Amino acid sequence: MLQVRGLRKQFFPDTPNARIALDGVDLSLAPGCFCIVIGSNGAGKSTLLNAIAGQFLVGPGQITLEGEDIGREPLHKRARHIARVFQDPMTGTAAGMSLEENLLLAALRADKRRFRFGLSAGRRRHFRERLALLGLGLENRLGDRIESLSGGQRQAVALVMAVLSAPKLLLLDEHMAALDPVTAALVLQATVRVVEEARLTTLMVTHNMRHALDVGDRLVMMDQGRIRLSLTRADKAALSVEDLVHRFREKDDRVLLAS
Amino acid sequence: MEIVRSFIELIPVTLAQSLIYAFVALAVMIPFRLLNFPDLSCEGTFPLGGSVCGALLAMGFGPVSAMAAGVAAGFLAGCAVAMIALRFRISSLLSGIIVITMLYSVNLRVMGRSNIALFTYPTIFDLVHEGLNQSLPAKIALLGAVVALVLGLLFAFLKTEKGIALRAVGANLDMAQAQGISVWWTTVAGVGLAASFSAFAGTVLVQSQGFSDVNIGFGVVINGLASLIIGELLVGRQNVARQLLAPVIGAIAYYQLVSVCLALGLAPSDLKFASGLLVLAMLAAPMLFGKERMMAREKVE
Repeated sequence: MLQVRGLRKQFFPDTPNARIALDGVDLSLAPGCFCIVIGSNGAGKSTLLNAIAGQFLVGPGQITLEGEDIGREPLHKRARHIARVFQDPMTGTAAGMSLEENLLLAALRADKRRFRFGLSAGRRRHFRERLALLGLGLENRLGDRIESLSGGQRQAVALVMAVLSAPKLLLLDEHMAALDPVTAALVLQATVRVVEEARLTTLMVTHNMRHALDVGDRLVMMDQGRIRLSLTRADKAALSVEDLVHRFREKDDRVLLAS
Repeated sequence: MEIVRSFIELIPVTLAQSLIYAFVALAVMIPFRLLNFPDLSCEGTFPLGGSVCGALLAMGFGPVSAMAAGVAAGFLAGCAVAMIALRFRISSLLSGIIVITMLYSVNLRVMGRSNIALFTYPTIFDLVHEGLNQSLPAKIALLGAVVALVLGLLFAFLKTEKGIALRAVGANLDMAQAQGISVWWTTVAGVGLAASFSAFAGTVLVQSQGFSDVNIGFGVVINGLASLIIGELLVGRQNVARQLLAPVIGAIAYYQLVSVCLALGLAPSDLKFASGLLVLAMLAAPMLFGKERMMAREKVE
């Protein structure tokens, strides 16, 4: 379970460019909750995900994951429990290395890496099974270098990598934004399947209102570094995309704060 | 004819020399290519290895412990370069130059003077076989075997879990961190490892030539870079095996090339200028050809 309390982050403090990116964010996710985050550019969505992942240390505020305070841990330590898929397909995978080497690192995310050959027959079989679920034929390309894959394939691999070692929290930062609609639909499908199959606690940022309504147990809307709106699955079912866009525009409306 | 003969006569000597300098080229390759941490500190760690080894030999230590101490000193110096660059967020090149400069004084302190003659002390070559240093073919065979062994071990290491993590840090920093890999420790250990190869080369060189001099490091980095570039031109760098082979093949080719130039009458004092020119040409080539290709494409369009 993820608990975020009073998270604040200011960029370029004490300069004329100072900007408050997170203005006291409170968020609590139940175990297995698939939460969608929407909001306009600069609302603080990515900043929130980066803060949770440990990309930078936040000012005041607390981040706990399954009761453990992780707010002061460096990025690579938090990565033992937190998996991420980035917006840019180039970020999540190492281009010059083979598919199986990338997967191996992901499989060892929570473990110690040792002086031993990690690519055992059993591991390879496991990787093949996981890749086969994508239906992209990648299970036959374990030895290929990542750079020979398309952006969509790389993003699909990044997704498989993220869930390979059963993280306590999965962070998806607009991971379909750089993909064409058909590939995006494929990656979304795969996302929903892996998240629901493993009952992963997940935070997914998206700009796609359709996706925001169609998937997930919860929907939060951010604006100016705060969470302005939080909807349950039942609330979402009653909304159309038009309603959501309408609310999006109305975000300054004080009434929204109460809803 | 005279030129050809003098070159051919020099081939074995040059080969032996290049097998030692292959370790320096390897020490250039690891930070540059595997860790994406451009580092020039061989210029300091190479003589450091030589100085420590030479000083200890002269104090009566055996060659094995003297070499181990030299390699350990190189490892620590490499770690220092990485730590300075990462902790204070300064360029790795600058950090390397700072360490090189400081090591010059350290080397003088270690040896107590600018050079030590080692002819009278038993070396690692004598330990393997009495008088081996005097037999060029035996020396080449021994050095070749050591190079092959180190390459084999390094190749195996880069395929282990730790080795794959090390390559990931160089290939994609964000990805490596997101997979729980500590960039700090990986870089520090990797640069340290590279520097120990450079220092190892220093320990072998001083025993091979029979004296240790504080200036043996002068220009080795540019030679290492040139070797690496030539090697990559010859064997490529598409996979780990080729990437490891490149500095070694490159060093062998580069020092023969130097020998050709000397046979053709190039003054030894002009050698550094020629080496610099070669590296510059190699580095500039993609830019020049790239530009031509771009202009050609524009014409077509």
